[in-house]
Amino acid sequence: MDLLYLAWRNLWRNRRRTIITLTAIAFSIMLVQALHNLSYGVYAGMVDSGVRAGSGHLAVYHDNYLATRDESLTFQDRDLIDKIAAIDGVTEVLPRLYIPALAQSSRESRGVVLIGVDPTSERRINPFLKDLPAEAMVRSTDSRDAVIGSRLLKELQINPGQKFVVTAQHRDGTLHSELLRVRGVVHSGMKDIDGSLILIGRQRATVLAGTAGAVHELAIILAETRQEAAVHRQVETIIGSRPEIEAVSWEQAMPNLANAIKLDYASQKFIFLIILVIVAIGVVNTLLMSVMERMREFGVILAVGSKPMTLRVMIFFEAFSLGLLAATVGTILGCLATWYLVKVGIDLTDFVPESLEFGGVVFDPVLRATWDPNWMVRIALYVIGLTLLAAAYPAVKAGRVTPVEGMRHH
Amino acid sequence: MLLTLAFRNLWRNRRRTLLTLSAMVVSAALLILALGVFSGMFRDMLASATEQYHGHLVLARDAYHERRDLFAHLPEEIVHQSLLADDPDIIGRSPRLRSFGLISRRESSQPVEVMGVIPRMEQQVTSLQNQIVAGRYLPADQDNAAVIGQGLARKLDVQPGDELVFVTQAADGSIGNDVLIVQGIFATGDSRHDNNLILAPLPWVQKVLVLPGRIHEVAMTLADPMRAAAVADRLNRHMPEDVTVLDWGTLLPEMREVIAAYDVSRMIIVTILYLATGLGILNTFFMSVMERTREFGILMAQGMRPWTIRSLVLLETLMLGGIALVIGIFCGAGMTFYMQQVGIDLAGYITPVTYAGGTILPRLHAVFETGNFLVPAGMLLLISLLAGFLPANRAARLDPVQAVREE
Repeated sequence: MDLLYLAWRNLWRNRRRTIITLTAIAFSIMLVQALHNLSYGVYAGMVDSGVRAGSGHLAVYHDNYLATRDESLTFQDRDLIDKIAAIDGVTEVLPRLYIPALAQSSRESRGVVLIGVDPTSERRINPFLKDLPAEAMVRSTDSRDAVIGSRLLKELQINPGQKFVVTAQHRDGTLHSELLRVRGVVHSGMKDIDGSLILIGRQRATVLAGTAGAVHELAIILAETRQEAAVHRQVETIIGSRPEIEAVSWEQAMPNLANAIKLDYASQKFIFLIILVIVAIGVVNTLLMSVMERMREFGVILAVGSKPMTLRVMIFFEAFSLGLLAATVGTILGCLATWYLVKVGIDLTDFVPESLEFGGVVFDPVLRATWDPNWMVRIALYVIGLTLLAAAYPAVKAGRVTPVEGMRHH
Repeated sequence: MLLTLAFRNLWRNRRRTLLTLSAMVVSAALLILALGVFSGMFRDMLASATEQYHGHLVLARDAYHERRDLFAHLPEEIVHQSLLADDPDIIGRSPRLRSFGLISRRESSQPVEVMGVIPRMEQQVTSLQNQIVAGRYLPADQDNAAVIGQGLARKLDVQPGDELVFVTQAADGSIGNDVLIVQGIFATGDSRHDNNLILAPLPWVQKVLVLPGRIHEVAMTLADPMRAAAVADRLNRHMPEDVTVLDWGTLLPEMREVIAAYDVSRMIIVTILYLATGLGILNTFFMSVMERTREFGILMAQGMRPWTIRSLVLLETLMLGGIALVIGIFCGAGMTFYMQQVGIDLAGYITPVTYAGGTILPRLHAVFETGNFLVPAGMLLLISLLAGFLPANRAARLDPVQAVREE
């Protein structure tokens, strides 16, 4: 205990040096924590909007569908929707049927993928439909209404309310055509979506493709992302009796989004690593300086009977108090920065034209952080560990001095 | 004289100087490496959009740029003029006719984009011939050949030699319907091209669409892609009103924004990293100035001017920055070179990421770009000067009488 107290006093013998070092460490911790929380929030936003437009947090498919996207791999949903929707934490279960088709107006044709949906539940969840007025949505599962992307509408050279024809391959191998009418228009700001999206009623889609009530996908939307594992297990139990279908997480169903996040986070981690290396070198420098200055003093301490080990432990205690103090101050600053980023966020509205797109999803132009306390504590502990590691060389140096040499020192 | 003094001063406490130097070198070198790798990702992204699809410039009618209007084909005189004109900036031109429709084989069908090209000319613009994973590229002499994306081939379960049926609406309103023989399969890593794109001979597409002799666009490759906007401007001066040459920046506004955003975030990252480094330099020089209080007092007592003392300290920090810069650039360039030549393959961990109209390939590989060296280098010198400022001021403000008394 005395040694710890001594270490603490030693730290403040050169106040300016300690404060500068402290500032450097605390500042780095704040930056790393705030940046991480910001990305954490942005990624969560991306995942949220990504899963709502895409596969859901969890998705149920026919076994091979994900690998091949072979449209013949449908399954009967029977009572699955009701059963899964009853699981605690599940907000919505969206049945979807994907049908490759040729969309034709009187002037133009485009290859598209028709998405057969349940209009009521889809409208509640799908972020692309957020700004769509209620009357512009597909009216029922078997109506001839279609909601289509704005660019596709322009390319087909038709207007809302006008008719167009879709032709798809029926189960029996022949081409079937259906007449549809444009009910609503989606403008997401993403070229791929606006140029290809066509939503129609589920019943109409099954008639066109001859799949009789079957679906390709059940997208399961959860209230919170972290319930995923628990819900996944329960879904597995429900579909357990049907070996031809499987439940997968969004990371598997939407690898583009998952990988975009992974890649972005990896490059961020590399920057974090450089920051920590620089901090470590700074700590080594400070501690080494302070050890070199006190060689004479160490000589005296050893001469009056202290063991070299005690000196080493003292240096480690100094490093530890420095690290602990810096971690505390840094985390407080990190909390303040995060708090600001949660409450206010970074508004990019003036810098980005319409919408931000990353990894195939649109997200809010106001970047907001989300608290990740576990990670904040972890980074603070890393830094304390790093400080102790950085103290190793100065401590060895201090322990190696002999009383005679030390006392002769300057 | 002052220079020699500053240099000698630096090495009076070798260990301290070396440690500070190492922090500076590490930050500069790793930054240069990281920026080189980021640039490599952007280069891949840009290449996936230009060299695998658009080319650097695209000449087409405005209606075609806007909504891919089937009937907005190019007037013949423009085609001749643009294909034959000699232009030192343009190293490749490819006339194209595009058709959107449904491709089927047995029970499965997929929406596709069929691009009608002249193989010999298309190879000057896109590099798909280098990305064939099965079979061969479009032969010059077969009129119903096709090369298709790997994703599409997998979904339709086809091999080279198999037959596909393409259905679309022709210009005369009829349903065009014809057979293609798959010659080869390409894999670009970009899911949209791999799942959606088919190259076929131009005459075949003209026949299916009933648009004999017509083309929609001329794609061009430039010797210097970064000059695309300027070349497009120049070409547009000679174009009729409803025909425009667009550069890749205009074709892919998302990507241009991403690159602009990268320039900003590069500055932010560099600033943040150097602030941490700068505090280290500040610390070292405060120490070194405090130690030399007595010495500065004597120098001043002998008549050295405060501003000379100040420049001495600033010279020391600047010199340290300079040395760090040389070593840092050297190490950074070395690592960048290694990553350029060898790189790291991430194919086992992640799949390609499609983003802002391009694709980031699952690999880390660096490219050399002047900005990636200039920004860290300039900032390092600036931060050394800034970090030297406070200690230099302190040294210059010393009172000789008191300073000399200091133990």
